[in-house]
Amino acid sequence: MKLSKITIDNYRGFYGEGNTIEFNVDDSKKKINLIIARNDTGKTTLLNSIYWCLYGEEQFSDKRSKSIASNKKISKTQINARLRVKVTIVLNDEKGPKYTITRERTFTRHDDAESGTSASQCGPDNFYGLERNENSTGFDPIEHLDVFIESMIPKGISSFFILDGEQLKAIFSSDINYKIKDSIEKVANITSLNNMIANLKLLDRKYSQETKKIDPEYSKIQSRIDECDERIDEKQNKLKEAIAKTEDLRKQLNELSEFLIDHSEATIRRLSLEEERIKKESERVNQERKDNETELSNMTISSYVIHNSKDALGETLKKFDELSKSPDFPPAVEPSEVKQLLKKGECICGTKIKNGSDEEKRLLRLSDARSYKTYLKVVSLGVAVLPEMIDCLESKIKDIKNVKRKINDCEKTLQENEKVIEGIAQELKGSDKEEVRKKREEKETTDRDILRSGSLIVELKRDISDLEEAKKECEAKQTTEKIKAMKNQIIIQKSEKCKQFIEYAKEIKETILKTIKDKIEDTTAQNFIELHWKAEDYERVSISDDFSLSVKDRYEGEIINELSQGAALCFGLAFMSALRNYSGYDVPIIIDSPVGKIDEGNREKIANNLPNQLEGKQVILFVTNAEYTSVFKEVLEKKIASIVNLIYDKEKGEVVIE
Amino acid sequence: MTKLSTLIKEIVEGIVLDEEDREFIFEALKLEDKFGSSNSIDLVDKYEIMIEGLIK
Repeated sequence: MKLSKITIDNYRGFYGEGNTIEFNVDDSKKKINLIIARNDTGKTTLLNSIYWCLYGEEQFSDKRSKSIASNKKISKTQINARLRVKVTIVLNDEKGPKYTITRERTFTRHDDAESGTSASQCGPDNFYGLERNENSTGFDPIEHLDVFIESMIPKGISSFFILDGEQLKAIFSSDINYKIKDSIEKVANITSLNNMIANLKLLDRKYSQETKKIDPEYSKIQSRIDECDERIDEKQNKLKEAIAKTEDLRKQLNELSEFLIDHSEATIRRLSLEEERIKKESERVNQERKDNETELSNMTISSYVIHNSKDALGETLKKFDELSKSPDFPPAVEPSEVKQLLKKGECICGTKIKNGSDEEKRLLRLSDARSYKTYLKVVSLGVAVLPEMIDCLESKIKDIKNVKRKINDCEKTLQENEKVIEGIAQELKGSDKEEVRKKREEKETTDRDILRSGSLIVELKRDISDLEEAKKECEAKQTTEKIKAMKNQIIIQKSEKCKQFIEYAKEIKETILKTIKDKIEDTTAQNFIELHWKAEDYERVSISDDFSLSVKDRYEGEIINELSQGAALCFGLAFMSALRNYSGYDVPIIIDSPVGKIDEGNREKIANNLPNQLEGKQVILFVTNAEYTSVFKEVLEKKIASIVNLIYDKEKGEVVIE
Repeated sequence: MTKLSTLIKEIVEGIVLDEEDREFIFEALKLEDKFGSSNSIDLVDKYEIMIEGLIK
């Protein structure tokens, strides 16, 4: 790739638009392009403009803090008006323009009382590029231009391609080991390998996070399933046994039922129950009879006297009744009057009585006052009390009769019951009651056995169902874990592959680094000898394992820190060209002041050998008139493709390109 | 092909014996050269796809 054209608008000293530098890139034998200018005329500005176009910042200026916009342009811009800085570079391949890269930055002019040339950036840069299409029929926009630039010429190693010779020797000033290692790593494309390792590590970490946790009990799941199977088999066998036993019991039950039906078991049972009921009733009736007999006995004893006096009382009452109705019953007269009548020999009724007659005797008794009163009292009392006594006695007798009747009823019932029992016994005669009872008991036992067996079957079925459920759960878990394990296996394979590539990348990196280091060491030594007239005095140029750069003289003394400025510059150029040659980047090398501190003898050597060391790539050298001596010019002349002069026009205050 | 790319090719071929693995390394280097400096392009995803292609 060759830099064919640079167009600069209002960039620092390059005032105005369309400041164009074109390089001759058509002559394959002439690869050197010279920019000749006096000091402070614009060489470094031009170098910076290329760097700024690619990376958006300046690298070599000591005025970086100031605006990149042309002061003249700012001063000519109205307050608050805008101005634009723009740099375009064109890179050619063998077919012509291949890439066009442009960066634009817009500024706003301010009113600055002190300088009058103040402008501030407004908005981000407009950065765009075009690439010739495959058919060379036109140009297409370059997507991700910053990425494209990094891949074409990474900013990190840009200092090997766009460099200031005056600053080359600074590479030995401090942190030399780090810089050497850094430089070698950059040209050896180690960044890509480092990025590859970093990305693979990220991927490996991602795989680790994706790995599913396997249940620590996973290994035991199969044994649990086996255990479930064993227990299910065991329960199934028991279930079969229970079902068979139930079947047997049912058959047995059917046989018993049939037997009991055949032996009128129901009738026997009914009759037996009837017999039992009647017996119980007879017992009750018998007890009732006994109770009545006891009551009768008590009643008989308690009413014995009255009972025995009943007839006498009846007679007595009859007598009293007769007496009370008898005409002999004396009238209600006083005994003293009766005594008077007796004296007169008269009766109460006026008739005459005879001495010694019954009438007289009765009257005599009547005349006895005391006897009369007693008699009267007894008869009256007898007539009054005896009926009550007789009523009471009859009531008692009635009660006794009632009890007797009850006793009779009981006896009658007992006799009837006996007859019924005899009838039942007669009916049951002929059936083997004992056997039926035994069979019935047996049937009841069988019924209970069937119930128990049924419960056992239910229990076994439930156990089997539970076990099958547990087994299913185990199997589902096992499947899940298996899938996880399989996925993990794949992830592990990927992770192992990742690790393998990391190891490969590390080994490749170390090998590349060592190989490049060795080659750069050799090439640097070779280049140094070619570039420096006194290089033969230096016995050995080496880069150690810790990347320390070493230059030893013929006496084996380390003299790297004692190199003259010219020798250091030659050494820097030798090292840079060695690095450049091992980098894989096909871009021109641009060097500002490559021989500024070099004496005439070395300039000749540099002019002769540097282009060869850079292996025919386009070289753009920025030199002052002082550097471009006749010797230098003579040696380079045949290799120069184009020369551009930068002249500062004092009147106009701008750089002019010729 | 530049000296460096020739050198890298030789070294990779000397270290990585399996052809598919070599292709992976070259492809990865190509991706890193092209997109490695871009923060907006996630190469891990691309690596994942490439590794998945290697796992059969």
